[in-house]
Amino acid sequence: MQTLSIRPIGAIRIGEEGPYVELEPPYLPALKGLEYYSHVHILWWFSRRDNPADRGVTQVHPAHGAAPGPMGVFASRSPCRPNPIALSTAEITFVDAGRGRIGLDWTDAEDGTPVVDIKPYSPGLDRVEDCREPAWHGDWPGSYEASRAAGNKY
Amino acid sequence: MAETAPMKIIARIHTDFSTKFGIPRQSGLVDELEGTVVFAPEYRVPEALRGLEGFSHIWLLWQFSRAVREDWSPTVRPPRLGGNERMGVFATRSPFRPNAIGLSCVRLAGVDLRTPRGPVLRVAGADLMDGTPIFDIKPYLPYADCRPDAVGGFASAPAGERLRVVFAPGCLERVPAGRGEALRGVLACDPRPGYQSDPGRVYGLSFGGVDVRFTVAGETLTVVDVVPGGGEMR
Repeated sequence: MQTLSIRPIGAIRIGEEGPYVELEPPYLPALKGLEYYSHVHILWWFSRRDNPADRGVTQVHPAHGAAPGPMGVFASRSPCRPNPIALSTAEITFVDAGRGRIGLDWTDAEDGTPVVDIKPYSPGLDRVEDCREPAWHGDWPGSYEASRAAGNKY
Repeated sequence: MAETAPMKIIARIHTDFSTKFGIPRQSGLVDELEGTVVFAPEYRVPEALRGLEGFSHIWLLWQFSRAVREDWSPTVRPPRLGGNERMGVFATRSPFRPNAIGLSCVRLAGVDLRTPRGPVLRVAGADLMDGTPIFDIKPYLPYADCRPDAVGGFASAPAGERLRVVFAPGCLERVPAGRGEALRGVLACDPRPGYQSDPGRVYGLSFGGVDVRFTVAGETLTVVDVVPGGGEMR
Protein backbone atom coordinates (compact mmCIF):
# COMPACT_ATOMS: atom_id res chain seq x y z
CA MET A 1 0.00 0.00 0.00
CA GLN A 2 1.54 3.25 -1.09
CA THR A 3 1.31 6.12 1.34
CA LEU A 4 2.35 9.74 1.77
CA SER A 5 3.45 10.89 5.21
CA ILE A 6 1.56 14.01 6.23
CA ARG A 7 2.79 16.34 8.95
CA PRO A 8 0.88 19.10 10.75
CA ILE A 9 1.76 22.69 9.86
CA GLY A 10 -0.30 24.22 12.62
CA ALA A 11 -3.62 23.92 14.36
CA ILE A 12 -7.10 25.39 14.49
CA ARG A 13 -7.63 27.43 17.63
CA ILE A 14 -10.93 28.60 19.00
CA GLY A 15 -10.14 31.97 20.51
CA GLU A 16 -12.31 34.35 22.47
CA GLU A 17 -12.79 36.41 19.36
CA GLY A 18 -13.40 33.51 17.06
CA PRO A 19 -11.56 30.68 15.36
CA TYR A 20 -8.21 31.01 13.66
CA VAL A 21 -5.45 28.89 12.22
CA GLU A 22 -2.13 29.17 14.04
CA LEU A 23 0.89 28.06 12.05
CA GLU A 24 4.08 26.54 13.42
CA PRO A 25 7.04 28.96 13.21
CA PRO A 26 8.75 27.45 10.12
CA TYR A 27 5.64 28.13 8.04
CA LEU A 28 5.09 31.82 8.82
CA PRO A 29 6.74 33.14 5.63
CA ALA A 30 4.35 31.02 3.59
CA LEU A 31 1.47 33.36 4.43
CA LYS A 32 2.77 36.23 2.31
CA GLY A 33 0.11 37.31 -0.15
CA LEU A 34 -2.81 35.44 1.39
CA GLU A 35 -4.22 38.77 2.51
CA TYR A 36 -5.17 39.40 -1.12
CA TYR A 37 -7.78 36.66 -0.96
CA SER A 38 -11.15 36.85 0.73
CA HIS A 39 -11.59 33.13 1.35
CA VAL A 40 -9.36 30.21 2.11
CA HIS A 41 -9.41 26.42 2.02
CA ILE A 42 -8.21 24.68 5.15
CA LEU A 43 -7.17 21.04 4.86
CA TRP A 44 -7.19 19.56 8.33
CA TRP A 45 -7.03 16.15 9.95
CA PHE A 46 -9.88 14.26 11.57
CA SER A 47 -7.40 13.09 14.19
CA ARG A 48 -9.99 11.28 16.31
CA ARG A 49 -10.93 9.19 13.28
CA ASP A 50 -7.38 8.19 12.46
CA ASN A 51 -7.82 4.53 13.38
CA PRO A 52 -8.34 1.37 11.33
CA ALA A 53 -12.03 1.05 12.13
CA ASP A 54 -13.01 4.57 11.08
CA ARG A 55 -10.69 4.50 8.09
CA GLY A 56 -12.36 1.28 6.97
CA VAL A 57 -15.87 2.73 6.84
CA THR A 58 -17.47 2.54 3.42
CA GLN A 59 -20.94 3.95 4.06
CA VAL A 60 -22.48 6.46 6.43
CA HIS A 61 -25.99 7.34 7.49
CA PRO A 62 -26.65 11.06 7.07
CA ALA A 63 -28.54 12.76 9.90
CA HIS A 64 -31.25 13.85 7.51
CA GLY A 65 -34.75 12.46 7.51
CA ALA A 66 -35.12 12.40 3.78
CA ALA A 67 -31.84 10.65 3.01
CA PRO A 68 -32.50 7.58 0.83
CA GLY A 69 -30.59 5.20 3.01
CA PRO A 70 -26.84 4.98 3.53
CA MET A 71 -24.48 7.06 1.43
CA GLY A 72 -21.08 5.97 0.23
CA VAL A 73 -18.27 7.71 2.15
CA PHE A 74 -17.11 9.38 -1.06
CA ALA A 75 -20.60 10.86 -1.46
CA SER A 76 -20.27 12.43 1.98
CA ARG A 77 -18.02 14.76 3.97
CA SER A 78 -17.98 12.27 6.84
CA PRO A 79 -14.90 12.15 9.09
CA CYS A 80 -14.95 8.35 8.76
CA ARG A 81 -13.22 7.68 5.45
CA PRO A 82 -10.08 5.97 4.21
CA ASN A 83 -7.99 9.11 4.63
CA PRO A 84 -9.39 11.25 7.46
CA ILE A 85 -8.62 14.58 5.82
CA ALA A 86 -11.12 17.43 6.00
CA LEU A 87 -11.72 20.30 3.60
CA SER A 88 -13.29 23.49 4.92
CA THR A 89 -13.78 26.84 3.27
CA ALA A 90 -13.92 29.98 5.35
CA GLU A 91 -13.88 33.69 4.90
CA ILE A 92 -10.59 35.20 6.04
CA THR A 93 -11.24 37.65 8.86
CA PHE A 94 -7.62 38.66 9.39
CA VAL A 95 -4.07 37.65 8.51
CA ASP A 96 -1.49 38.18 11.24
CA ALA A 97 1.75 37.38 9.49
CA GLY A 98 3.84 38.13 12.56
CA ARG A 99 2.18 35.45 14.67
CA GLY A 100 1.25 33.18 11.78
CA ARG A 101 -2.49 33.44 12.34
CA ILE A 102 -5.36 33.39 9.87
CA GLY A 103 -8.74 34.41 11.26
CA LEU A 104 -11.70 32.36 10.05
CA ASP A 105 -15.33 33.38 10.06
CA TRP A 106 -16.28 29.95 11.29
CA THR A 107 -15.12 26.39 11.70
CA ASP A 108 -16.65 23.11 12.74
CA ALA A 109 -13.30 21.80 13.93
CA GLU A 110 -12.42 21.56 17.58
CA ASP A 111 -9.72 23.55 19.32
CA GLY A 112 -6.34 21.98 18.67
CA THR A 113 -7.28 20.24 15.41
CA PRO A 114 -4.17 19.67 13.29
CA VAL A 115 -3.97 21.59 10.01
CA VAL A 116 -2.10 20.09 7.07
CA ASP A 117 -2.52 22.68 4.30
CA ILE A 118 -3.80 26.14 3.48
CA LYS A 119 -4.84 27.09 -0.03
CA PRO A 120 -6.37 30.31 -1.31
CA TYR A 121 -9.95 30.02 -2.51
CA SER A 122 -9.70 30.97 -6.14
CA PRO A 123 -13.07 31.70 -7.75
CA GLY A 124 -11.89 30.59 -11.17
CA LEU A 125 -10.94 27.21 -9.77
CA ASP A 126 -13.27 26.60 -6.91
CA ARG A 127 -16.56 28.33 -7.49
CA VAL A 128 -19.09 26.33 -9.47
CA GLU A 129 -22.15 28.46 -10.04
CA ASP A 130 -24.11 25.81 -11.88
CA CYS A 131 -23.73 22.80 -9.63
CA ARG A 132 -26.21 20.19 -8.62
CA GLU A 133 -26.72 18.14 -5.47
CA PRO A 134 -29.33 15.46 -4.74
CA ALA A 135 -32.83 16.80 -4.20
CA TRP A 136 -33.05 15.48 -0.66
CA HIS A 137 -29.68 17.02 0.15
CA GLY A 138 -30.88 20.40 -0.97
CA ASP A 139 -33.45 20.31 1.81
CA TRP A 140 -30.68 21.15 4.16
CA PRO A 141 -30.25 24.79 5.01
CA GLY A 142 -30.61 26.77 1.82
CA SER A 143 -27.79 29.08 2.66
CA TYR A 144 -24.44 29.00 4.35
CA GLU A 145 -25.63 31.39 7.02
CA ALA A 146 -28.67 29.29 7.83
CA SER A 147 -26.51 26.22 8.02
CA ARG A 148 -24.19 27.81 10.50
CA ALA A 149 -27.09 29.07 12.54
CA ALA A 150 -28.43 25.54 12.72
CA GLY A 151 -25.01 24.31 13.84
CA ASN A 152 -24.94 21.76 11.04
CA LYS A 153 -22.08 19.38 10.73
CA TYR A 154 -21.89 16.97 7.85
CA MET B 1 -2.13 13.73 15.32
CA ALA B 2 1.22 12.10 15.79
CA GLU B 3 4.19 13.86 14.22
CA THR B 4 3.22 12.35 10.92
CA ALA B 5 0.30 10.34 9.67
CA PRO B 6 -0.04 8.18 6.57
CA MET B 7 -2.31 9.04 3.68
CA LYS B 8 -3.06 6.03 1.54
CA ILE B 9 -3.37 6.14 -2.22
CA ILE B 10 -6.93 4.97 -2.86
CA ALA B 11 -7.10 5.55 -6.61
CA ARG B 12 -5.34 7.01 -9.64
CA ILE B 13 -6.70 9.20 -12.35
CA HIS B 14 -6.03 8.45 -15.99
CA THR B 15 -5.85 11.39 -18.36
CA ASP B 16 -4.30 12.39 -21.68
CA PHE B 17 -1.42 14.22 -20.02
CA SER B 18 1.62 11.98 -19.82
CA THR B 19 3.80 14.88 -18.61
CA LYS B 20 3.17 18.02 -16.58
CA PHE B 21 3.81 20.22 -19.58
CA GLY B 22 0.72 21.69 -21.16
CA ILE B 23 -1.73 21.00 -18.35
CA PRO B 24 -4.05 24.01 -18.11
CA ARG B 25 -3.18 25.82 -14.94
CA GLN B 26 -6.71 26.02 -13.73
CA SER B 27 -8.97 23.00 -13.67
CA GLY B 28 -12.32 23.35 -15.31
CA LEU B 29 -11.02 25.54 -18.08
CA VAL B 30 -11.25 22.79 -20.67
CA ASP B 31 -14.35 20.75 -19.96
CA GLU B 32 -13.61 18.38 -22.83
CA LEU B 33 -10.61 17.08 -20.89
CA GLU B 34 -11.82 13.76 -19.63
CA GLY B 35 -10.28 11.63 -16.95
CA THR B 36 -11.10 8.31 -15.37
CA VAL B 37 -10.62 7.64 -11.68
CA VAL B 38 -9.70 4.00 -11.15
CA PHE B 39 -9.56 2.72 -7.60
CA ALA B 40 -6.76 0.64 -6.11
CA PRO B 41 -7.87 -2.99 -5.84
CA GLU B 42 -8.50 -2.84 -2.10
CA TYR B 43 -10.77 0.20 -2.57
CA ARG B 44 -12.94 -1.18 -5.37
CA VAL B 45 -16.06 -1.02 -3.23
CA PRO B 46 -19.19 0.05 -5.18
CA GLU B 47 -21.12 0.87 -1.99
CA ALA B 48 -18.55 3.53 -1.13
CA LEU B 49 -19.81 5.47 -4.15
CA ARG B 50 -23.52 5.11 -3.41
CA GLY B 51 -25.30 8.38 -4.00
CA LEU B 52 -22.33 10.14 -5.59
CA GLU B 53 -24.08 10.33 -8.96
CA GLY B 54 -26.47 12.84 -7.43
CA PHE B 55 -23.73 15.47 -7.33
CA SER B 56 -22.64 17.29 -10.45
CA HIS B 57 -19.19 18.15 -9.16
CA ILE B 58 -16.67 16.59 -6.81
CA TRP B 59 -13.41 17.50 -5.13
CA LEU B 60 -10.36 15.40 -5.79
CA LEU B 61 -7.54 15.46 -3.26
CA TRP B 62 -4.41 14.17 -4.93
CA GLN B 63 -0.65 13.89 -4.67
CA PHE B 64 1.62 16.36 -6.40
CA SER B 65 4.40 14.60 -8.20
CA ARG B 66 7.65 16.13 -7.07
CA ALA B 67 11.13 14.73 -7.26
CA VAL B 68 12.18 13.26 -3.92
CA ARG B 69 14.88 15.87 -3.58
CA GLU B 70 12.39 18.69 -3.94
CA ASP B 71 11.17 19.85 -0.59
CA TRP B 72 8.68 22.53 0.15
CA SER B 73 9.47 26.21 -0.19
CA PRO B 74 7.97 28.98 1.98
CA THR B 75 7.72 31.27 -1.03
CA VAL B 76 7.36 30.59 -4.74
CA ARG B 77 7.26 32.61 -7.93
CA PRO B 78 3.83 32.19 -9.55
CA PRO B 79 4.10 31.96 -13.34
CA ARG B 80 1.21 34.39 -13.77
CA LEU B 81 3.31 37.13 -12.20
CA GLY B 82 6.01 36.63 -14.77
CA GLY B 83 8.16 34.57 -12.47
CA ASN B 84 9.70 37.58 -10.77
CA GLU B 85 7.62 38.16 -7.69
CA ARG B 86 7.55 35.86 -4.67
CA MET B 87 4.40 34.86 -2.83
CA GLY B 88 3.94 32.65 0.20
CA VAL B 89 3.18 29.11 -0.89
CA PHE B 90 -0.09 29.18 1.08
CA ALA B 91 -1.23 32.06 -1.10
CA THR B 92 -0.83 29.86 -4.19
CA ARG B 93 -1.77 26.41 -5.47
CA SER B 94 1.91 25.60 -6.05
CA PRO B 95 3.17 22.02 -5.61
CA PHE B 96 5.99 23.14 -3.33
CA ARG B 97 4.02 23.11 -0.10
CA PRO B 98 4.85 21.23 3.10
CA ASN B 99 2.33 18.48 2.38
CA ALA B 100 2.17 17.65 -1.32
CA ILE B 101 -1.62 17.59 -1.55
CA GLY B 102 -3.43 19.03 -4.55
CA LEU B 103 -7.09 20.04 -4.65
CA SER B 104 -9.21 20.12 -7.80
CA CYS B 105 -12.89 20.59 -8.43
CA VAL B 106 -14.04 18.55 -11.42
CA ARG B 107 -17.35 17.80 -13.06
CA LEU B 108 -18.63 14.30 -12.45
CA ALA B 109 -19.49 12.94 -15.88
CA GLY B 110 -20.52 9.49 -14.71
CA VAL B 111 -20.19 6.67 -12.20
CA ASP B 112 -19.69 3.24 -13.79
CA LEU B 113 -20.05 0.67 -11.06
CA ARG B 114 -19.19 -2.43 -13.06
CA THR B 115 -16.13 -2.28 -15.28
CA PRO B 116 -13.20 -4.70 -15.65
CA ARG B 117 -11.32 -2.34 -13.33
CA GLY B 118 -14.08 -2.19 -10.75
CA PRO B 119 -16.18 0.91 -10.14
CA VAL B 120 -14.77 3.99 -11.90
CA LEU B 121 -15.59 7.68 -12.04
CA ARG B 122 -15.59 9.61 -15.30
CA VAL B 123 -14.72 13.24 -14.72
CA ALA B 124 -14.31 16.34 -16.87
CA GLY B 125 -12.05 19.35 -16.57
CA ALA B 126 -9.30 17.50 -14.69
CA ASP B 127 -5.93 19.27 -14.75
CA LEU B 128 -4.02 16.23 -13.63
CA MET B 129 -1.21 14.19 -15.05
CA ASP B 130 -1.92 10.60 -16.07
CA GLY B 131 -1.41 8.29 -13.11
CA THR B 132 -1.78 10.98 -10.43
CA PRO B 133 -2.48 9.33 -7.07
CA ILE B 134 -5.79 10.22 -5.42
CA PHE B 135 -6.25 10.39 -1.64
CA ASP B 136 -9.88 11.38 -1.31
CA ILE B 137 -13.06 12.21 -3.17
CA LYS B 138 -15.63 14.55 -1.68
CA PRO B 139 -18.93 15.82 -3.06
CA TYR B 140 -19.00 19.49 -3.99
CA LEU B 141 -21.62 21.03 -1.72
CA PRO B 142 -23.16 24.27 -2.98
CA TYR B 143 -23.73 25.86 0.40
CA ALA B 144 -20.27 25.02 1.74
CA ASP B 145 -18.06 25.21 -1.34
CA CYS B 146 -19.57 27.79 -3.71
CA ARG B 147 -18.77 31.31 -2.52
CA PRO B 148 -20.28 33.91 -4.83
CA ASP B 149 -18.66 36.72 -2.88
CA ALA B 150 -15.15 35.32 -2.96
CA VAL B 151 -12.45 37.40 -4.57
CA GLY B 152 -9.03 36.15 -5.57
CA GLY B 153 -5.86 38.13 -5.35
CA PHE B 154 -3.21 38.72 -7.91
CA ALA B 155 -4.22 35.78 -10.08
CA SER B 156 -7.96 36.30 -9.85
CA ALA B 157 -8.86 36.12 -13.51
CA PRO B 158 -8.72 32.62 -14.97
CA ALA B 159 -6.37 32.31 -17.91
CA GLY B 160 -9.00 30.99 -20.23
CA GLU B 161 -8.49 30.68 -23.91
CA ARG B 162 -6.01 33.26 -25.09
CA LEU B 163 -4.64 31.96 -28.34
CA ARG B 164 -6.11 31.27 -31.75
CA VAL B 165 -5.22 27.72 -32.71
CA VAL B 166 -4.35 26.81 -36.30
CA PHE B 167 -3.43 23.33 -37.55
CA ALA B 168 -1.03 23.01 -40.46
CA PRO B 169 -2.38 20.77 -43.26
CA GLY B 170 -2.58 17.13 -42.25
CA CYS B 171 -1.97 17.69 -38.54
CA LEU B 172 -5.48 17.52 -37.17
CA GLU B 173 -6.03 14.19 -38.89
CA ARG B 174 -3.16 12.70 -36.91
CA VAL B 175 -4.70 13.60 -33.57
CA PRO B 176 -6.40 10.52 -32.02
CA ALA B 177 -10.11 10.32 -32.69
CA GLY B 178 -12.25 12.29 -30.28
CA ARG B 179 -9.33 14.23 -28.82
CA GLY B 180 -9.30 17.12 -31.27
CA GLU B 181 -11.52 19.49 -29.38
CA ALA B 182 -9.82 18.79 -26.06
CA LEU B 183 -6.42 19.37 -27.66
CA ARG B 184 -7.60 22.62 -29.23
CA GLY B 185 -8.82 23.78 -25.82
CA VAL B 186 -5.53 22.94 -24.14
CA LEU B 187 -3.53 24.74 -26.83
CA ALA B 188 -5.80 27.79 -26.70
CA CYS B 189 -5.03 28.12 -22.97
CA ASP B 190 -1.35 28.52 -23.86
CA PRO B 191 0.58 25.54 -22.49
CA ARG B 192 3.94 27.26 -22.59
CA PRO B 193 5.71 27.92 -19.28
CA GLY B 194 4.48 31.21 -17.83
CA TYR B 195 7.42 33.32 -18.62
CA GLN B 196 8.54 32.09 -21.99
CA SER B 197 7.72 33.80 -25.23
CA ASP B 198 9.92 32.82 -28.14
CA PRO B 199 8.31 33.00 -31.60
CA GLY B 200 11.12 31.02 -33.15
CA ARG B 201 10.88 28.04 -30.85
CA VAL B 202 9.09 24.80 -31.68
CA TYR B 203 7.42 23.49 -28.53
CA GLY B 204 6.32 19.91 -27.98
CA LEU B 205 3.29 18.76 -26.02
CA SER B 206 2.62 15.13 -25.23
CA PHE B 207 -1.12 14.56 -25.36
CA GLY B 208 -3.28 11.48 -25.83
CA GLY B 209 -0.35 9.41 -27.03
CA VAL B 210 0.95 11.80 -29.69
CA ASP B 211 3.59 14.48 -29.71
CA VAL B 212 2.11 17.81 -30.79
CA ARG B 213 4.64 20.32 -32.08
CA PHE B 214 3.73 23.98 -32.29
CA THR B 215 4.96 27.53 -32.51
CA VAL B 216 3.43 30.68 -31.09
CA ALA B 217 3.62 34.10 -32.71
CA GLY B 218 1.59 36.88 -31.19
CA GLU B 219 -1.83 35.46 -30.38
CA THR B 220 -1.71 32.61 -32.86
CA LEU B 221 -0.56 29.12 -32.05
CA THR B 222 0.24 26.97 -35.07
CA VAL B 223 0.48 23.20 -34.82
CA VAL B 224 3.26 22.34 -37.22
CA ASP B 225 3.48 18.60 -36.72
CA VAL B 226 1.86 15.68 -34.91
CA VAL B 227 3.90 12.52 -34.48
CA PRO B 228 3.15 9.24 -32.71
CA GLY B 229 4.48 8.55 -29.23
CA GLY B 230 5.62 11.27 -26.91
CA GLY B 231 6.48 11.27 -23.24
CA GLU B 232 9.16 13.92 -23.10
CA MET B 233 8.61 17.32 -21.60
CA ARG B 234 10.12 19.95 -23.83
